[in-house]
Amino acid sequence: MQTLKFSFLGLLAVILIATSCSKKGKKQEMVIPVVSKTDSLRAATRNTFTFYSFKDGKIVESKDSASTKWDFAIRLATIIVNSGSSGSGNVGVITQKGIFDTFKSAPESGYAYDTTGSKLAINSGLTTGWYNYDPASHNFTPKAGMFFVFRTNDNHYVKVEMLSARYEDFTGPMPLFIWHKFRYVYQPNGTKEF
Amino acid sequence: MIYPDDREVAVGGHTIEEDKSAFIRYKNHPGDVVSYFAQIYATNYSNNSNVYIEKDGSLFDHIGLSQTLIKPELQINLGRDPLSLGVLGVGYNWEKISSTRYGSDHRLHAWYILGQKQWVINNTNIIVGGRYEKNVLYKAQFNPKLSVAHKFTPDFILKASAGTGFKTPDFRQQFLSFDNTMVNYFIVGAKELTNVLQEQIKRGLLDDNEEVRAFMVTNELIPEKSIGMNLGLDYTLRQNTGFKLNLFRNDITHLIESYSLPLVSKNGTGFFSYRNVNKVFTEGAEFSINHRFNRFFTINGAYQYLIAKDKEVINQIKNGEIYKRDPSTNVSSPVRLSDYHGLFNRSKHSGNLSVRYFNEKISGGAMILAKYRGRFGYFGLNGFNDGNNILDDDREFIKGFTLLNISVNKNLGKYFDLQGGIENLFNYTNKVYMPNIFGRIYFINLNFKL
Repeated sequence: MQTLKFSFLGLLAVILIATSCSKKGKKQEMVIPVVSKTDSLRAATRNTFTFYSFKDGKIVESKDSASTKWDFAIRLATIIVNSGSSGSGNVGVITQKGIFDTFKSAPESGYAYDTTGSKLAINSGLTTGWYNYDPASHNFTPKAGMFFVFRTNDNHYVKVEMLSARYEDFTGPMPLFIWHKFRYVYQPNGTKEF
Repeated sequence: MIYPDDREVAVGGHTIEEDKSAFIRYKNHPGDVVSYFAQIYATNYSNNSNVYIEKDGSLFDHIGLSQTLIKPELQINLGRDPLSLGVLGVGYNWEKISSTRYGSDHRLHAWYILGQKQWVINNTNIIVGGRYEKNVLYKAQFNPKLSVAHKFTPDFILKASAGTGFKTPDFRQQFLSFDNTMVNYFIVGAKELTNVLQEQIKRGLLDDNEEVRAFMVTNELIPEKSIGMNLGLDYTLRQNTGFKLNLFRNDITHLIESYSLPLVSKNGTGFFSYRNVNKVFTEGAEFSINHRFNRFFTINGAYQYLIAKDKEVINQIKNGEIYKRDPSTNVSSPVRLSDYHGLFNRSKHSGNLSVRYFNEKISGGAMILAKYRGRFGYFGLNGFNDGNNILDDDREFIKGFTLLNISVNKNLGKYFDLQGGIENLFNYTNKVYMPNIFGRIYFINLNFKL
């Protein structure tokens, strides 16, 4: 009921903005649509992280790892966010249970940060973390019904769902890279509504 | 922790297995009312394997195991009438195991007392019994059992029973210490976990931090406990056809399962250990029929219907806490109760059918046996995972299959028995998921009996 009400209010707000805009007859770009994107990221299985920016929708070079340009980064199946011990930013994240598509509004509070190297905002533990690990095949599968709500460095809200993880083909004893597929909805207007 | 599926390193080796056992029983009948027997059973099993890498002949792995069991037992029977016997027994189990895969030698001992009383009232047979057992590692356990059988006619018997049981953790679950360096994981028995982690810290493979310390506690396993109920009937038709039906339900708590620790050592090794977790139940029905056509031919058929589910999973589904994601569309949805098929590796349907031929004149016979195993769930089948660890998708099932065996046998004189045949005539194999099923096997056995 709560979400229904929120989305109804959201709809009402959009209509109000839309009608006020049409009255003035210009500035159509005030209604910026949310950005929905499915992307893949190639992460190393050891040593280095791969960094990603929601705003730009692409990978951030590792020379910028000390900047606030990136939001999250992955190595194997460990996700860090740009805050605290991991970066100079103030990215916060909530691990949310439920269905990604029907989640319409980012919470006001409850965002977690990477406080220390062993206390990260996103739990990447082998059994307790965001994925299921199959010890026989060594495959990682993101847990269904779990996704992340990010608050970025410039206070924009993003909901992110990890979709799959596949090792890149390899010849040696261990895979060097893993591809993480994920989708996200980025709200460019700074509101919490998706 | 990470290793390819298709890794292949050619290895060869040999195994020497020795199996020795001794059994002595002393029986006495001092009076009309009392009889007793005392027995002692001792066995030793040892196994030594060496595995070499074929490429360069270097020793890859040595596995040694030696297991000794000594089991003295005393049983007293009271009562004149065999139909209303009382039984009292006491026994002791002493077990020692040493293995290259266990940190050190381990000894286990347990003693038990059992009692049973039987009554026959008209056509009803009642048995009340109990067993009290103390294992050195666990709390004392008492398991009662009650069974009742009623004979309506000699051909029609109704049976019911209820009882509790328990299963202590085995050596592997307690003491295993197996570092599989090839596949980069370490399986550790619950009692060895603290030692192994300490050792890893000492060798600098794990950091001495709170995450590791969280597992360096007394990791106690407790026995699995169960409550079982059975209801059955036996019916014989014209003395050559028998039907048996049995309905069963078992509730098991503290089921022991393996789990992976959220730790990875600096050389990439993952850790597995054992813990008590789930509450599961199994229920179902067994039906069997046998029919003798004539002096030569008999047919036997049996079928089992089985439901085996995890109660915690059922609760989580009811609370809407388990979701699935279709890996082809990436659409997520809550798992419905009807989607949950139960535990992996259990077939809902299974059965067997055999036809036997025996001819006394030639003292030989033949048999055809078909064993059917219905479809069953396999975790991670073909890399499939819908984002939860439960069996809730048809793509997680291995198809059912039938193994067909045929054999002939003949007695050769008083002491010899010759047998030959083919197992798995259809040559069913599934090398990846069921490597224990070999293809077609031809065999000839010559048995010698004293």
